[in-house]
Amino acid sequence: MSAIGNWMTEQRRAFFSNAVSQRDFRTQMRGKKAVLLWLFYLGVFFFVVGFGYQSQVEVHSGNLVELQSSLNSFYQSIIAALGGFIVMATPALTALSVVGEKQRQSLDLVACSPVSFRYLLLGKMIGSFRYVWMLLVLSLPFTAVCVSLGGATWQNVLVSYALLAAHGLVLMSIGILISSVSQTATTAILYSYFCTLAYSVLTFALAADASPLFSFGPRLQDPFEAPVSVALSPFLAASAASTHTTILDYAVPNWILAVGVCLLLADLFLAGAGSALGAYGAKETLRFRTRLLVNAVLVGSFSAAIYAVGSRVGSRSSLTNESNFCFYIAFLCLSPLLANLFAWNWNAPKRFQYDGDFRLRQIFRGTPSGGLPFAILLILVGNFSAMGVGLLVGIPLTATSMGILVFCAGYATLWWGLTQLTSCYAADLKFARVIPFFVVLLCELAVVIAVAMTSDRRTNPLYTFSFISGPVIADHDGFLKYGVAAAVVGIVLRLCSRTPRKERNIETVA
Amino acid sequence: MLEIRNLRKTYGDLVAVRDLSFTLEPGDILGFIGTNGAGKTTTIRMVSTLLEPTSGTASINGFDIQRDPMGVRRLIGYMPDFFGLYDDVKAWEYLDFFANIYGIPSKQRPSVIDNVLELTDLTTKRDAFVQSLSRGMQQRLCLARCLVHDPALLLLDEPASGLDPRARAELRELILELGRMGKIVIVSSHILPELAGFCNKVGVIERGELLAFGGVGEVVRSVQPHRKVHARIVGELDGVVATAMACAGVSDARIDNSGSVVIDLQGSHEDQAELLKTLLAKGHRIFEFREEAVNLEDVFLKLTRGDVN
Repeated sequence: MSAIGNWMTEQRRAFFSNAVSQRDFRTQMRGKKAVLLWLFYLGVFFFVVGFGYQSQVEVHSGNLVELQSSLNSFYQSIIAALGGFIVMATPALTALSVVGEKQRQSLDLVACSPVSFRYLLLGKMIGSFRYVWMLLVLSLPFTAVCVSLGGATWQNVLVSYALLAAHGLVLMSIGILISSVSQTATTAILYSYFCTLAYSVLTFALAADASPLFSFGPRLQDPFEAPVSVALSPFLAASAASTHTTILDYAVPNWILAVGVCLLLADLFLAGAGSALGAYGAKETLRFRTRLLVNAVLVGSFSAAIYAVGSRVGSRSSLTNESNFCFYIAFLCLSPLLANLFAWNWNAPKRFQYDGDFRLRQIFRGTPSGGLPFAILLILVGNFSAMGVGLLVGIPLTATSMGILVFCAGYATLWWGLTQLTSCYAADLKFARVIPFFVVLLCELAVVIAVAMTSDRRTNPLYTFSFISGPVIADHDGFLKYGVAAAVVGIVLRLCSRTPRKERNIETVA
Repeated sequence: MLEIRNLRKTYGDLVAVRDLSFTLEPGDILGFIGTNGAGKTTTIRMVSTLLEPTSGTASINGFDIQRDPMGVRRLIGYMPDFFGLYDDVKAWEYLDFFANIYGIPSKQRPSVIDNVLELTDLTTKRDAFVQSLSRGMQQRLCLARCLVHDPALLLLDEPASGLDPRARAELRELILELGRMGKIVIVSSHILPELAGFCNKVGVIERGELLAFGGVGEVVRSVQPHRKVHARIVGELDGVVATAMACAGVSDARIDNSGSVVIDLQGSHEDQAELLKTLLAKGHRIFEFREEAVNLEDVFLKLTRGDVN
C-alpha cells in the first residue's frame, strides 16, 4: 500500500503541483509580452478566418443549401487553420525548454535535486500545454459563430478541440525530445521544426491515404467508418471528428482512439527525452524502452487493423497484403536511429562505453551490449503483434510475413556490425553514430543508381548492395534472402572490427 | 558524515580524479585547493551525483551516491561556480521553486524562504528580480537556494570568485556560521589566504591526486615541520640568538630585516613555552613572542608543481 501511496504522491506532485510548471506559469503571464503575443495571434487568426469566409461563404450567399455546405467547409478550414497554428507554435514553445536550461546552466541545479527528469519534462510540458489551450480558447468566438450559423455542432467543436489538444501534446513532446538531445538553441529550433513538419506531412499522408470517403464538406455530420489514421493529422481534426472504427461490432469513435495514440506517443517521446538526459542505469531508460515495446505492439496492431478497415471501406492504400508491412515501413523509417543503440566510445559517459556485444541483461539499461537484443525484441514484438492482429481480422499469414520479420532482424544486425566497426575507429560517439548512416545511405544510393541505369538491374554490380534496401525497390519475395544476407554482412563486419578493450589509463602524475 | 572512498574519474586516457579518499565530520569546513583542471569540480560534481564515478564511491550519512542518489540529493546543497539563475523571476520565487522541488510543503515554504533570506541577509531583496541583483547578492541567493532544504552537506564550488572584498567577508562569516550549525562544508577556491581564515580542514589536489589532507595546521606542519617563532626584543639581539640556539628543539635562529629574531623550532608547544621561559630567565626583554601564522599559499606552492591534466 505504501508503494501505491508513494506513487500517487509522486504523480500528484508531478501533475498538479509541479514546481517547473508553476515557475513557467509565473514568468509566462508576467509583463506585456504575453498580452501582445495573444493580441497578435488573434489578429492573424481574424485575418485568416476573414479570408476564408470571403472565399468560401460569401460567394454562396444566394443559395441556402450551398450556404450550409460552405459554412461546413468554412468551419473545417477554421479547424485546419488552428491545426496549422498549433503546428507552428509548439516547436517555438518547447524547442528551448531544456536546451535553454542547459545554456543557462540551471539544469544541473535541478539534476542534483531529488526529482527525476520526468518531473522536469512534465513540468515543461504542462507549462507549454497551457499555451496550446490558450490558442484553442481564444479561437472559440470564431468556431462559436460557425455553430450559431449552422456550420457545425458543439459536439464537433469539442471533439475537434480535444483532437487538436492531443496533437499539440505530441508535437510538444517532440519539441521537448529534440530540446533534450540538442546542445544549442539553434539546432533545437531547426530540428524541432523539421520533425514537426515531418510528423505533420506523414500523418496527413496517412490520413489522406486511409479512406476514399474522406473528404471535406457535406459528409462532415454523417458518421462513417474510416481507419483511425484519419484522425492522426492535426489539419483534419474537424473531418475526422465524425468517423469511427468498428471493433468487435462496436463503432468506436476515431477521436477516442486517436487521443489514445497521441497520449502514448507523447509519453514515448517524453520518456525518450528523459532517457537522453539520464545517466547509466537510469529509470528513465527503462521507462523509455518499455514504452518503445508497447508502441511496437501498437504500431504492429494498427498496421494490421488499418489494412483491415481500409480494405473494408475501399481504401486507396495498396501497399501489400501483408499484415506486418506497415510495421516494416515504420521500422525502415526509424532505422537511422539504430546506430544510437549500438554505438560506443570510451570517452563517452559510462552508459555509452563498450560492455560487450550481446547481453540480454542490459536490454533495459541502455548500454551498447543491450542494443542488439533490444532491437531484435522490438522487431519480434512488433511483427508478432501485426501477424496476430492480422489473423484476428482475417489477413492470412504468408511466407512473406515471416520474411519481413527475418529481414528486419537481419537489417538490425547489419546496422549493429557497421556501428561496431565505426565505434572502434571513431574519435567520438557522434561520429560512431553518424558514419553508419552515411554508409547505408551510399549503399541505398548505389541500388537506386543500379535500378535507374540498366534495364536488367541484376547485371549491374552496384545492385550487390540491394540486400540493404532490395525488398523495397525490387521484389517483395526476397525478404528472407535479403534478411539473411544483411545479417551475415553485419556479423562479418563485427568480426572485422578489432575487439574493443579498455585502454590502460596513462599515469599522469609522476 | 561524508565518506569518500577511492573515488576515481577517467575520461578515456585522462585521469581527472585519482582514487580520492577522505572523511569529514559534521561541522567540518574543508578548503579544497587546487589549480584549474586539478579535479576539484569533478570531485564535487561526483559527490553531488551529477557525474558518475568510474570507480570508488562516496556516502553521506549512509546514503551512497551510486546506490541511492535520490537520498544523497536530499542531503546536499550544491552551489556551482555559475549561478544558473532564471530570468523574470523574483528572489522569493526562485527560492520557492527550489523549496517546492525539494518537497517542502507549501504552507511551510514562506517561513523557510524568510529564514534563508534572513540568514543570507537578503530580506530586503525578497521581491527584487534576480537579474537586478548585484553579483554578490546573486551569490548569496544561490547559497540561500542551497539552504532551503536544510542540507547536511554543502558543496561550494569557487563561491568567492568575482566578489568584492566586503562580499567575500560576508560570505566567510556565513560559511563559518554554517559550520557552527553542524553542516559539513566543502569550499573549493583559489583564494588561499581566505580559506585559512575559516577552514578547519584542507585538501590539496593536483592532477586528480590528493596531495595533502587534514587539519590546516597538520597539513602545514607536514610541509613545514618546524614552527617559525618571531621574537621582538628591546635591547641587544645577538645574545638572544645564542640563548635560543642552546634551547631544546631549536634548529636555527637569526635576525631578520625588520629587527626581530626568527627562531625555527622543531618541537611541540611545550618546547615553545620552555623557550620563552628560558629567554625571559636570561633577562632578555621580550615585548612580542609569536608563532608565524599558517600560510596555505606557501604550502600550496611547495606541494604543487602547477601541472594540469
